[in-house]
Amino acid sequence: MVFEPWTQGIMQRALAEVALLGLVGGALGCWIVFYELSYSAESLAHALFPGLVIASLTGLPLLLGAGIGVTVAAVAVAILGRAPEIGRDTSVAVVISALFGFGVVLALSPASPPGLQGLLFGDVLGVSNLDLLLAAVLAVVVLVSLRLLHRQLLAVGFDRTTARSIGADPRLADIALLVLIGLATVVAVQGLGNLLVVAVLVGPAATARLLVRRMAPMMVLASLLAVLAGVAGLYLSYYAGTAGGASVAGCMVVLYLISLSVNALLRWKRKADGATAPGALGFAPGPSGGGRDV
Amino acid sequence: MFETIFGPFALPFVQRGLTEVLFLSVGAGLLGTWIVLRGLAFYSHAVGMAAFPGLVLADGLGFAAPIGAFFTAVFFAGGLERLSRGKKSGHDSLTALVLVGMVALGVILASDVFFSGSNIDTLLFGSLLVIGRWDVVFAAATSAAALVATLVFGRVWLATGFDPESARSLGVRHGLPDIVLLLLISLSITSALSAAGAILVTTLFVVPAATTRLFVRRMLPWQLSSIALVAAEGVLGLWLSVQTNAPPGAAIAMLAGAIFILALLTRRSSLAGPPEPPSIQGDQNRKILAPFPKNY
Repeated sequence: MVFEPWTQGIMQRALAEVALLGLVGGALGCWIVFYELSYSAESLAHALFPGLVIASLTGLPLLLGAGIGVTVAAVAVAILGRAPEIGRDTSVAVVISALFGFGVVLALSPASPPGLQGLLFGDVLGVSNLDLLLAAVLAVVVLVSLRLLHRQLLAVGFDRTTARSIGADPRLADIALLVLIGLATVVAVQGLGNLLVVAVLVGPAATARLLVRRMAPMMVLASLLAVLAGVAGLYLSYYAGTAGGASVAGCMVVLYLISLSVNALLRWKRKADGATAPGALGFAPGPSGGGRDV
Repeated sequence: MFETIFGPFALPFVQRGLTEVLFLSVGAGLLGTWIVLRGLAFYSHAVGMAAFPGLVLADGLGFAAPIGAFFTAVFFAGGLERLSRGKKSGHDSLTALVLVGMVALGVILASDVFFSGSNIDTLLFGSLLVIGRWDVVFAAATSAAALVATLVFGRVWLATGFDPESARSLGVRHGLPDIVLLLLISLSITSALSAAGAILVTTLFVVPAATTRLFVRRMLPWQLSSIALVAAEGVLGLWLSVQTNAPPGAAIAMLAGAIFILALLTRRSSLAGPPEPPSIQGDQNRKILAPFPKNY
């Protein structure tokens, strides 16, 4: 019952894909939540759509199309975001609607083969070995970069104005983060499709942030939770017969809602017990202590 | 010559799409300026996406699509408000989570409950060419509501948009007006879904207002020029879609994006003066003020 799904090759590959995207999405997600970049993360996935469509029309590997598409989108967001009158959010909206519109024109043109929905919602059960290998390489790149950039990202994230004085460059941190989000999106888009990618990039990280305060443990916990929710989604999909990507994404959102209610319940209980903890659970020193982050 | 240019507009379904886009343009142009000013682009995108399960339900159970979309959009807005109450940061990740939860629900409903199949494309991308009479009425009604609300609340929205802190200290209460603005955006976006689809609805609401913002500083000219630009892009996009057989929503999206880039380039070359400080509540400012690391 428990191990039965994993006897098939399809499910084994799906498991590997979910593990990869969970590791990357969880760790990177903590930075996305910290930097308030959810909209960019959500929309980069939409904006790589024309790349996916072109790849599937010309028969190139999907990951290659996704990579090119996401690069174009990230560069466009970075350029437009520098116009002072319109904030970052508005420039993101401009870029995604233009690029997604382009993708839809290509995808719905009479010459295109059907199969658009696979690109939109992903197909976690249709991952090939080559896809897995490419995804693994990208995952290693993202995780290593996160390790190398850790101090920079932390310094800039806490205080942009003084970050420069301790040798961190806010612009470099922003661009690096955008590129890493792009790479992670490319890994995740295969399994979740471009409408659901944001679930793994934000869900586990937001959940972990409810539970711990320090960055490094938060990243580890978020990755663990992401893999856990991903596996739960695969079980759900296997036994209930629901769509794979949507089940995985749904589990990640449900996980967040559960921790949120548990958190609220604990807070309420603490208040009822009369313990005079300063503020909510989130602001009290966590189990890992309130020391400075590494 | 005349025939090839105006020929498509003689067709009844094109005429209906034309009426729809002209009605929508008033609400989209007006609210677009508020969306850009108040930094609500993600919210408006998310409302459109969150309506997806409602559209699937309406399609599967056979009731009018705007009803389903409207109720899910209100459910989304209410849920978001409830979850983010009392929080000072992290609204964007909450928005993203609620959004993707709704989309996942919609996908499961579509693929495993109703087997909607190819209808999904229409639900996601909409079409100005298959507009019903009620869609037009709905669009006209929301545009009228947007106009009235702008006249009533415009001053408060403007004050809170430029400087939330001092607006509060000046005694401008923005509880009710803000709720009205969010509801109005949900309502208008719902009414545009059948025309532009869930993902591309920002093309009507955000992109034109952002384009005119590059040239216009004062509120009234900005609003009027945004309405005009939405209408122009809508009509031209509709015409292009009839001529090239491309889906209308996507044609408008590409057109609007291209016009924005052209506008950005012409402005760069014509106005070489020093850039003004950002007058919109910028992400940078918010980030510095955001009280995230409380106990470090």
